Amino acid sequence: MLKKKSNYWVILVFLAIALLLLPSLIGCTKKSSSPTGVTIIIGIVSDMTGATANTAIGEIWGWEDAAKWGKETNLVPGVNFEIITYDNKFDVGRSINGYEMIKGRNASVTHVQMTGANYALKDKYATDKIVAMIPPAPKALHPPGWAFTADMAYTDQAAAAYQWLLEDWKKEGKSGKPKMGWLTWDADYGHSGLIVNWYASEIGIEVLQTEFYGPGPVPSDVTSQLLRLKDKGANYVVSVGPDIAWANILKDANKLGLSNSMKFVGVANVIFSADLAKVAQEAAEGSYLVMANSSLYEDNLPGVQMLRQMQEKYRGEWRDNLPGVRGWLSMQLIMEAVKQAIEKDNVKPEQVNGEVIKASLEKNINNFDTGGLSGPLTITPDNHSASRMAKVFQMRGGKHLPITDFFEAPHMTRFEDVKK
Amino acid sequence: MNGGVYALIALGIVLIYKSTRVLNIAQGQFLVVGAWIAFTFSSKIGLNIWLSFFLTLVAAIIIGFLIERFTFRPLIGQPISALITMTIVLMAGIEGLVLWIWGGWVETFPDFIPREPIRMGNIVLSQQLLWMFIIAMVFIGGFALFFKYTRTGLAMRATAEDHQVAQSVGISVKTVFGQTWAIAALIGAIGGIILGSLYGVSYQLGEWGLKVLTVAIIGGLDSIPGAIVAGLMLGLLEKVATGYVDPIIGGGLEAVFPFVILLIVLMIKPYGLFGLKEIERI
Amino acid sequence: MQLPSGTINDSYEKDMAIIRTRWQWVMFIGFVVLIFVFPAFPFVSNYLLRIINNIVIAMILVLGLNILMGYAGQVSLGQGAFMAVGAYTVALLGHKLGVPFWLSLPAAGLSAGIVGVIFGAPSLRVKGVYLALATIAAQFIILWIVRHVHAFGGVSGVPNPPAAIGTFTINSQLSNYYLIIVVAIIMTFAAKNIARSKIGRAFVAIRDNDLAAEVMGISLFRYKLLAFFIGCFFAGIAGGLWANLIGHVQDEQFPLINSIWYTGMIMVGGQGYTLGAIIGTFLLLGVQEIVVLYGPSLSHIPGVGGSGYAGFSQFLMALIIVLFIIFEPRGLAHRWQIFKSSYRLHPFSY
Repeated sequence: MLKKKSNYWVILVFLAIALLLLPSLIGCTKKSSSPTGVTIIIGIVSDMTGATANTAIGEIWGWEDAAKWGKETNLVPGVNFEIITYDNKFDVGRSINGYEMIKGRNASVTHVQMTGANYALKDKYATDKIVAMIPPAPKALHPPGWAFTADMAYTDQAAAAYQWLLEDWKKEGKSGKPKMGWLTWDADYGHSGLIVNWYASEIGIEVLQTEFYGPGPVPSDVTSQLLRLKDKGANYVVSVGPDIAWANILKDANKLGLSNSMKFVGVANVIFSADLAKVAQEAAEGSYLVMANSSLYEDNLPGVQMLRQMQEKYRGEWRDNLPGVRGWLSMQLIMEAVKQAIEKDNVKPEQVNGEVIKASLEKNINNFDTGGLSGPLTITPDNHSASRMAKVFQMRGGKHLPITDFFEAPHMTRFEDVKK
Repeated sequence: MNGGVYALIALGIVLIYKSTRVLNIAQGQFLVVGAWIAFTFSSKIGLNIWLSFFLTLVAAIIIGFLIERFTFRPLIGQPISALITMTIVLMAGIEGLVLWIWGGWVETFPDFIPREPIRMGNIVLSQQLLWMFIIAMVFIGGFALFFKYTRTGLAMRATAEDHQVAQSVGISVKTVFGQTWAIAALIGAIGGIILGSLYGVSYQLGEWGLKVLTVAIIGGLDSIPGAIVAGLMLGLLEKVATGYVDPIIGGGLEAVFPFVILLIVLMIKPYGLFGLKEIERI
Repeated sequence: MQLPSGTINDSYEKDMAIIRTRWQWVMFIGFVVLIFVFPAFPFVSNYLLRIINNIVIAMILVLGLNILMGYAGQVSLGQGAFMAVGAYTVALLGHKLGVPFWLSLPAAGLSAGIVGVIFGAPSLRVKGVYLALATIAAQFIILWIVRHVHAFGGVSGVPNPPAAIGTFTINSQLSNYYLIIVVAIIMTFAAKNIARSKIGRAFVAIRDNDLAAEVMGISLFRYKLLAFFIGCFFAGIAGGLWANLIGHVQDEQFPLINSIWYTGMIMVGGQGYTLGAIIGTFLLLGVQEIVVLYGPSLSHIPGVGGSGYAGFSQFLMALIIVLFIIFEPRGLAHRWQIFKSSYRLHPFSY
């Protein structure tokens, strides 16, 4: 028995080694066919198997599709963009492993999807001179360093929501201050709107005591929180959180019959409409969403059509992949920055590095047209969140349809909650 | 009402613990697999919803047997710690497999429980949760009887005591292991179908496993009524936390308050609420 | 300890020495020198150093957990949270009070140890799996506190100023490597020595049967809490090093799933062996890293296309570890012992 076991052991070791070597061999055969020209490496450290993979994979699709499109149309002559990916399993430690990996591969642009990791890496981006296109986490974007976003900072989106909410209140001809309560995810992402509550109270909204749910991804019953908000007379319930949790809030609100007396406003774009409609169904009807992108059901917009064509072409299917918009726009911005640097600033392709891309992003990205996918994108040295405009949507017939046009919201640089 | 859901999933963990003394950390992944298979049958292939649920249960039983055959059978007679580690690894493995086959998206299958809530005066009940609760109770009751009166159930309990002793009295430990995992996978699939219809089918359902692990432990891992009471109690304590304690201390207590209470419970009743008190001899 | 024939312990000091023969000394010094010159090798990149730093920090934590679980038999599924206590201690002391790292690192160990004792208190009455609940509670409660008590920095975490010697700051992977390695060597020796001292033997007695241990005159109260203190002290030190390595501490960095994996590392390596803790950590984290690194190239295998490769590679990782467990259910350290003795006795089987 023992002898038999030790034979197994040897086989196991060989098997393990074989398994580990196999991928590297396959990797080698692939590298031989790399095209000529300068290659700019873009390192994506994102979540493919962790808690947020459903949104993160969508965003990676956006990056990859845009890169393929750029290559096919030869958007930036003489420059190839190569995307390398690293799975961080939604873990900060692993994200930083991944960052070191892509740094070792001489990446000049990176996308680290986890906000917690971006806080930790903020200073490293500057010392390593790597441009980071990150999710719009306000505290990682301000004060401006080497981190950029193609999206609108979460705080700015919240500010846009406050503005719209006040307008909506006035439009309905009601007097007095509207009462707004947050029912939000108890994690950094969910808190990202709270920290500009001062702005809400400044423009004349009464901010109620914040309610939380979570922080785990398991949806929890929010009846008590909703009833408390109702008792305090909330007119608007605002939330930032993962899509399933938002669907759950809407379902609970529907169950309690609150959907008519309160307006439910989701902020920021991870609440994708397809999933929301699938999971919450009629409970989601009439709910609002404030985000910096267009809905993917606005088929008349050239940007949406383009995104759709690309996805059908490269993925063979069309999904309401809203996170993909951010990836798509991020890659577009990088390609545009490199293109402008070469064309306008007379930088030779082989000189393009992180520094050039950063300078070009800050200088040349001015009213960049996204075909209606988002408002025109502008980056300045003191504001690294490219999108300045948000749009409000309402769920009708299972689709988020726009009820306003893109409108501008102020850029928030002061982060504090209302003192209770 | 979440309590019923907790109880049903916890039952899977309790069952495995009762017959094999293994703390199954991978139980959440059975939910995911069950939900995805049901989705594949009902929405991808387009079978009748009830037929596809039946097929899912059959598939789950097969998966349970397969998992047992290839991962746990070689470990019979080995230290329990190896078996527990195996469940941790299984969790990662099944999650990987699910992501590979079905991807990280959220899907839903057709409704089979009406969504309209039931109103009784002031009380509003979600029908989905109510049905979940009823199904959970039926299964829990069924398994309680199973353990008490059937030969297989008794064999499972004997195996839990000691693998070698069980083998020496003529119980096939292998068979018992297989049956246990099949049943656990079956329960997981039922939970997955119900949760999938409530919250959408995605690999994130697996997170329920970790949450429910605590429920199973509170109930006293080897007690079926314990799992029910603990499940309901955790649901209730969460409600108490969000309903009464949150306004005083500040939000987000839901995840924490039950634990504070349970720490106190544990100090008073060290073997969980309904756990078997072990008489220790030197 | 098994020693080559001809080695005679003729004094107490010789009997107690960890490193006994000349050949062992050569191996040991060679190994230490190798560790210190390791970054000079041409194939060593920042990335590799970062991986090693990560693994060694986990190793320190797992060494502590091994004392707690492997020797004293007390299950803890909240080790990640105790690591968070250490990390927050270092970050808060450094960020708010400007305390140098050299003082805050031991403070991190102490604070984590004390918090560990508080959550370990149920161990006096509760055993086995039920104790696991108490420690899971620690995981949730500690992280809730750091998230909601404003003084602890809230949801966005606390930035941590890097440690410094004079004007030289330890903020690169390389300088952190030396810091971590030095601490790790000290902690490994501490772990090894605790295990074979009176305390370690008391732990083993408690693990094997706590009632019997009490009858023999071992104070359960004292030793169980001591086990928690030591286990969490290690976690706290690991947390302190982590804070310095990452430069920003946040509650998201210490999820429950990590705590569960730490226990897995001990079991793969072999419970109750100091070497087991080391092997287990290196093996599990190493396999994870390799799989993640080579994952993208798997997408060229037919059927694994698109984004599916990440799932597939995770499945592969699990498969490799499953094989390890099936063939080595008692841990890799156990196999190492067998290998060593069979090598020593070579021509004869026993």
